Amino acid sequence: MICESLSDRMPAVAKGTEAWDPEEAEHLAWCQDCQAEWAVIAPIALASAAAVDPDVDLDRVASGVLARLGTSRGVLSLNRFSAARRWYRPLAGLAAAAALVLAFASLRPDPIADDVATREPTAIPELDVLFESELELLLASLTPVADEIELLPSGIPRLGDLTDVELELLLETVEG
Amino acid sequence: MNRLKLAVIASLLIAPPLVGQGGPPGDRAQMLRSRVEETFLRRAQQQLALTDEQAERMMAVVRSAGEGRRALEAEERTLRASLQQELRPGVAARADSVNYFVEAISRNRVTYAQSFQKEMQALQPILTPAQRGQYLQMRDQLLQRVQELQQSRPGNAAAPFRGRRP
Repeated sequence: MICESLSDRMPAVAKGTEAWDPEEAEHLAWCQDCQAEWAVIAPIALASAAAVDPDVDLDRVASGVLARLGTSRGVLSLNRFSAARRWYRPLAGLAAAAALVLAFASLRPDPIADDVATREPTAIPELDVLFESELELLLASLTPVADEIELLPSGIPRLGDLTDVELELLLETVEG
Repeated sequence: MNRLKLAVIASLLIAPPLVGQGGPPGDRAQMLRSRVEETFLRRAQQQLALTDEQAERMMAVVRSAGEGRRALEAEERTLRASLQQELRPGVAARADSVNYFVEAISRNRVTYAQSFQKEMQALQPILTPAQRGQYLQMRDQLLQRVQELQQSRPGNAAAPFRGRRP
């Protein structure tokens, strides 16, 4: 918890309005995460102080921040940011899932993508936008059921003999 | 990492149906389109009780109109892509170009709707008024079904539909 406490006080200490107490100073002496954060926070706090203190050299502060960001990249870890980690994990999972879904969805061919101009002449160009599975359903809905289903000698077709398309058509008929 | 693994597994479970949808372009899709068209026109011939001569003349009219609408659809796709290119985020759109594409798309849509009117006019000397009315209803039902199929896609990822009823 002392890490979080230090984080909260870093800006004030950097501006000189407050000071570390002995326990904080000792912690800062050995905690690499806090040292890394201090290396970033302190120049930023100083820069914000520059708004009221024109004597602070902003260019020098900016150079210092950039330099420290460069050297601390490998030291600053997410371990101390427990609150951030609580957000990070589910978000990372969702992002990965979304990326995968989009990647797979992009593999789905566009029904009107590229070969429309070379397709056979048509009386119903509106069909160009449909996928195969949709065309099958449409065809089934246009075809009278009696033409498609071969009746058993008893005159009663078995559901197990029907194709997926025929079952879907039957379901639509039953559901109205 | 468990959430991440679950998310990946969930994605893989979701993705195959999308890939497995298959779809045009392809020989099977072309074959299915032809069968839908043939079935629809055969049913029209039966329900409208067309003579062979009427069916042949009607077929010529609807095929010609269909090809015209397909060309209009292709033109609109091109125009919409160009407009989208102009309006892409982070890049200042050129006002003249945007105006041009908006006007062209609007004209295209009017022409598309008029093509239905012309088709019906061309059928007038071929079909009786009742037959013409029946055909209009049949075609509307078909286009409605096409639209429903598009809207029932997962995520409602419907491609732009031009099968408006005039």
